[in-house]
Amino acid sequence: MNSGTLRKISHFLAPISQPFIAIFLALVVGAIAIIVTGESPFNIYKIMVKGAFGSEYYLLTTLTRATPIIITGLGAAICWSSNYMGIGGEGQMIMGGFLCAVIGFHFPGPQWLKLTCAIIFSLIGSGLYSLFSAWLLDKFKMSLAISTLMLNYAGAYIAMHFVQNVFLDTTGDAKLVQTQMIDESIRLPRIVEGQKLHWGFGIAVLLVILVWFMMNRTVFGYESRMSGFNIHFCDYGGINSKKIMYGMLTLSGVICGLAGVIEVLGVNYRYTHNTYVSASYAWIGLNAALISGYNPIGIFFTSIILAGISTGGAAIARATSVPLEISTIIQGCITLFISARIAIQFRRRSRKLASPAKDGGSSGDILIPETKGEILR
Amino acid sequence: MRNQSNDVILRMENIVKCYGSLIANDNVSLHLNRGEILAVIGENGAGKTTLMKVLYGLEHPDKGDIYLNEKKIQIHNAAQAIANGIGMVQQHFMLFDPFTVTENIVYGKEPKKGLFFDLKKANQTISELSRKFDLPLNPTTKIQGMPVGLRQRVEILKVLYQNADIIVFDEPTAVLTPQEVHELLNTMKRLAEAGKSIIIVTHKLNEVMEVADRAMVMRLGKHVAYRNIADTSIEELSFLMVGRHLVETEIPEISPGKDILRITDLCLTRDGAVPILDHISIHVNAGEIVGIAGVSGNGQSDLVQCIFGLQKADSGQILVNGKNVFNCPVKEVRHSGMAMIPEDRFIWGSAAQASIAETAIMGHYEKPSFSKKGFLNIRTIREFAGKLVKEFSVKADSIAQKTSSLSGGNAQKLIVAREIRQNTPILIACEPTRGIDIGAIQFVHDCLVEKRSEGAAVLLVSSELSEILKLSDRIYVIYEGKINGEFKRGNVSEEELGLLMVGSKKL
Ligand SMILES: Nc1ncnc2c1ncn2[C@@H]1O[C@H](COP(=O)(O)OP(=O)(O)OP(=O)(O)O)[C@@H](O)[C@H]1O
Ligand SMILES: [Mg+2]
Repeated sequence: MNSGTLRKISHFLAPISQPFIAIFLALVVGAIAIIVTGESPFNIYKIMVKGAFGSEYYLLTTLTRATPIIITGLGAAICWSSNYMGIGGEGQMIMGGFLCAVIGFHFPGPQWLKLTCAIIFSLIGSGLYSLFSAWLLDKFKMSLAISTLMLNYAGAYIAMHFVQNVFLDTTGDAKLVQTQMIDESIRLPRIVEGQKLHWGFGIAVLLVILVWFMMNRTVFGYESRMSGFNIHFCDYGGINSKKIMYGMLTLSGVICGLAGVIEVLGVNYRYTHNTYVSASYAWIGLNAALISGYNPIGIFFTSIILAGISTGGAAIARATSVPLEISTIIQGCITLFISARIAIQFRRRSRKLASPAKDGGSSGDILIPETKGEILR
Repeated sequence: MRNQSNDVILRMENIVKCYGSLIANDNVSLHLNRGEILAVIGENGAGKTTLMKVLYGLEHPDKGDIYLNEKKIQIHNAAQAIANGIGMVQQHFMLFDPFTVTENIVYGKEPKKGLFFDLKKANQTISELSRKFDLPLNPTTKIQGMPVGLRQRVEILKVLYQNADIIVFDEPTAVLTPQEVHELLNTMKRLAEAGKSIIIVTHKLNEVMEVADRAMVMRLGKHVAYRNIADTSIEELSFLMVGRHLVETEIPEISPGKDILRITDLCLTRDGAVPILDHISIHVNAGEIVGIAGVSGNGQSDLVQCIFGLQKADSGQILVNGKNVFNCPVKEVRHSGMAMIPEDRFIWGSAAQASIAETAIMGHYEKPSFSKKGFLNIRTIREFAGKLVKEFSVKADSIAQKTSSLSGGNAQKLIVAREIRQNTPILIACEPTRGIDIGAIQFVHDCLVEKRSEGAAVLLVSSELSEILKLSDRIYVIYEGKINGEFKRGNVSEEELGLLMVGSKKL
């Protein structure tokens, strides 16, 4: 056998295999849960797959749902891969969506100007929102996890306040806290007439390619990946790690903001309080980024599967006695398996910190087990 | 001489371990007698560490058996190795800084009183153990701030606490000061006398001659010879390792040019009080290798970091070709014409998870042939990395593999290659030959000498006195952050240097 080709193939498959293992394990756990409810897992999973991918309508619904997951996943991947573990995707997405809906409706002038300004200012807004956490980290050593998490809540309530008090849609009779709909002429067109799927999915695909390119083929991507691997190595090489931090966090905010913009332009045509939060797009996106090891192509496929688990779960609830929560269980298990991996990474890192860089080199060989054997990685 | 009974405690038979298409261990067999010290030596990448990992359960052999006391055993993980009385002195990552010596040692096997951790008993056990094996340590001090030598002693005690009969040391002396090395070798002898069987992996043949009873030589994944130390010599061992006789580096006579690097009155204090660097003034001329000799921990790391912009100094001047780069960011320092081989290859010099190519282009990637307008040119990068690997004979399967899969010495070669190819007029080399085999040492020395012949200024920082004496045209001795003597080549003996390094005043 030609081991060279074999290695190439496995090298190519590696980024994709990881998410599949995590998802497979989660499905096994889900199967046990299904057995407990007295149904046959094969049957249920068949319904689930059908409900997620089984017809044009279901497939396109799943892809529509996957779109914001892919985009927020990419946003999370670029900052996590450079070792800045921000979890502010949700707040940034809200900023993007809220600003886009408000500017897209209220900005004076012709529709094309409304659209352009809506996109530009909402991306700037969400970028600045993320930049703020970077600044807090830089100036006050405030933990990124805490600041971004808090800003998620802050973002949701700031948006709610303004929608409620300034931009509330009073035309309809619904009691929802939402803005008015943007004009039809500036909405994203559908890919297939009569179906939900809109060209935002195309933008997501394009973004997958762009992010892959940025990470693997640009100087900035190289620098940020190295900073994710080993910050001392970067300092020594002359890389300005502050620049990486500000750059990556801002860019990640812009990308997550774009997820909100696309939801407004392609799906809801307005900003409604709580929609992104209850669908937990950004969190599922983060999951997708983590299980695929920040690989954009992996994120693409994982996001579609995760979206499929949600839409398929709804199908199960419609057709059988198994409750909707089954998809929550599966998603939860996926999160659990990922957290296990992250916990291991953390333990390894704290162990590294246990021996300061100053004294003692690592000239003897490192005799801790290699990274390669890690769970899911 | 120790009273070695010739009964075999451990046999590893026909061990085969492959990484992909690379055969790291090719039918290697090893036996270890009770109470002896066996040295495992060989070039970088010969497979020594791999063999030890197999023994300690960190790697699983593709083929081969392990016999303990002539009974076949299976070792799937470190816990099983420990249960079988096999211990390994880990050098890194294994101690928890904020905890005490005792807590670190008993971790995982704590004495209990009922359900609770019995700290008093633990402390007592540890101090007994430390007395028994003559390894003085205070059980209640914290690991934080301990010198490397003491940390290693904690590791040794930990292995003893786990009741190991067989103790493996993988390059234990690489980071120790000469005094610490001396103590460690004595400890090993004492342990062997107490009936422990010891395997030591090292590149330093004089240590082998001093401490070992037998040596096993490995080359290219195979064992090529066993020698009783009593019947062999350093020359024979090095010939067996490298497969050829080494030619001494020739250092041609050249007259140095003007001073390219001049440092005046460099001062650094820690926490605003403790002086780390105390008015250091040194210079390096073109075509000159200047050595800085000192016991590690006397400020040489900080000196280099201040010069290179990795640390901010308090005051002073650093002139590179007349331009002051004092406290400039690293990038500017590099642009001014400086490159550096860092003292620690895995902390500063590379990123374990990065590919070889990615490690190889650090500091290079902004040159126009590798990137334009922020876009990388992957083809030239691959060509460049491939060329480095080939020219400097880094043993690697492909440039796409992770840097962590290189053996220690090969990683070092890669870093040396990268920094030499920066083609800068100044090269700072910190411990450039730490942990690499004699063939590779020769190679790195040749590189440094060639750099000098090209008219570059080389600043060599090393705790290896023989290296300093061999290469340097001029030598500064550093002690407690001060320059404690300056000599021209041939004007000082090893003894004098040794004394100045520990603080004696100039004779
Ligand atoms: N995880 C791995 N993946 C791929 N190759 C590996 C891996 N670990 C080791 N190797 C390769 O196996 C060979 C033997 O490595 P090993 O670390 O045992 O060498 P060594 O004799 O300890 O060398 P050194 O003296 O430099 O430490 C090397 O060529 C190395 O590149
Ligand atoms: Mg080794």
